[in-house]
Amino acid sequence: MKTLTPQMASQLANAAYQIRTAERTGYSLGKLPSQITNNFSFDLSNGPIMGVSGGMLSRVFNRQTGFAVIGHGKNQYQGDTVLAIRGTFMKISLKSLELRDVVTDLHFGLATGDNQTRIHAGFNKVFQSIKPALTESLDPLLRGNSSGTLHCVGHSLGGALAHLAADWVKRYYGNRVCLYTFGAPRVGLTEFAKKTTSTIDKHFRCVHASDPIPMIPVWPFIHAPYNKHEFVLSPGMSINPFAHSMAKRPGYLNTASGHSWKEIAQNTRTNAQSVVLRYANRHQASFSTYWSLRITDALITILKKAGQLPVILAAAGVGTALTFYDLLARSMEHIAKLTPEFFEDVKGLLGHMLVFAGYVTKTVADLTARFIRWVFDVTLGALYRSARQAFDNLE
Amino acid sequence: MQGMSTKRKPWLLLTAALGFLVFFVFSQQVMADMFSWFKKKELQLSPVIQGKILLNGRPASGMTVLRDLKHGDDSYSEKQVTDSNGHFTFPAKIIKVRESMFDTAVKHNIYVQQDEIINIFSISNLNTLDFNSFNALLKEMTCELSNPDFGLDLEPDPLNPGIYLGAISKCSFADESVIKNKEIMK
Repeated sequence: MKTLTPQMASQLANAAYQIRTAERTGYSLGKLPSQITNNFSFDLSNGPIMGVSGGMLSRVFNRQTGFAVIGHGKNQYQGDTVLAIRGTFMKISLKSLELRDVVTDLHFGLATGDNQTRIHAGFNKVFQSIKPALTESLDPLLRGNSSGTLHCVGHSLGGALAHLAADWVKRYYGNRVCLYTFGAPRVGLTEFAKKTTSTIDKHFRCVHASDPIPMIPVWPFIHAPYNKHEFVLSPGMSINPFAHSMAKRPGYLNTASGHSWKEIAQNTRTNAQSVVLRYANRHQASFSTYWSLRITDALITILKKAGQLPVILAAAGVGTALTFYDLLARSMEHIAKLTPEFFEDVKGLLGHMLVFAGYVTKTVADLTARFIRWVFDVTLGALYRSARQAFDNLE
Repeated sequence: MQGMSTKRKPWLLLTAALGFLVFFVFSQQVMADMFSWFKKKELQLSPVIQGKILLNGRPASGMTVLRDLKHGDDSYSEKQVTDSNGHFTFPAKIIKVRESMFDTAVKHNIYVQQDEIINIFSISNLNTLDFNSFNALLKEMTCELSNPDFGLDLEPDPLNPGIYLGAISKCSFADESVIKNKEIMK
């Protein structure tokens, strides 16, 4: 099966930003690099795929903007189709609030997605709103032509939507689908990750180690492909909102400018690894993506060891974030009481969380559910604040 | 007991003070990093443009030339009329923007308004157009309206080699050293 090169995928994710609004002479993707125009043609004479994105104001005024563009394969990619979805575009108006909430809402809401698994309610809502327009554009191409591959591409929110689109196309039309995302947030819980890993034929999830968006929403959301590698295109320890950009350095356009997927990966990471954190070593922690992932791994390790992981994951699918973290805190309190070893494991985890969140001098003494809940709050708060501050700046 | 606790206190105080100092310095650095993108920065959407419009080889005077600049949802349009030699000029356009982690589409289009609107120059990118290659082209351009649209591949910015810089235009340019490839658009 043919896949797009990293360069083609990143350039397409980039080009999708240009179709938001029309010029005096119509919609245009601008001048594209020849590796794209040699292999795909784009007909924008009828405009891009339009949708109403954003909040209430946009809906009231029915302000439609272009959000996706479809390319028809030729030469090497004859018979294939590419779908590039635009990333988040924020503006100083009320309509930005909704997308801001989608990405930074600590109290995540869940919805049942098209494949009957639990996913982020916000992403599901946006995807359901664009699906009719997607169907209208894809139907003539894919119905009765299940031999071609659909390549879904997107950056940021566009990556999350491309993920949902790829999964939906595979189940609805049966075509082979390849998914290429850059700095995309996590879309769903474990079941969603597992299911889409088996439906989507090839999934290239590209992240920068310092980009905060691919880390959120935090666990129990996890990234897909499940137990497979994501491509870390630039290393880094700290959290840097600018590392989310396509074009600002490091910039996914720069880090994904190669021709082979093996070449561009500086590193790869997979889902949960077994991690035990010692309380005495807690000051090694810092506010970084590395520690965010390590702390999550340590939390999962404890739950697994105590046999509580299935219960907690099941609860994540039905409850709200508030009840979920209450339950998790109570479960941790219970686990800490089981054996001295578990007590040390939980204490080590909480100590690292506190240092991560900036509570460097705070010591962990009692392991009550109430205290544990508070540690969760400050840890999540610190993480979401870094993402939210970038949004606030726009308002 | 009393003696011991007073003995310990200076250490305790010192540790607390040191801890606070470390925390203060650390948090200040974090704050500085966190708020650095709150500052507004100047962004050049267009340099000064010198241009000439030709129609079938002859200077086209009295032509309306439009420059549309877009930064996200913000648009800036300006109009000029060519003189008897077909010349037009646009001043530089600099706006103030806040740094953001999200990408903003930036576009620069020049049109000539005849019976219909003809796009004679078009570039776009994310966040900025202030690249050496774009600026070199805009400095001085000659546009023959009967020309087809050419697709131009331009020299990338050495600092951002992955960012593809391209343009669509009917014009020729005083400085074409930045053009790597020029071919008629299909």
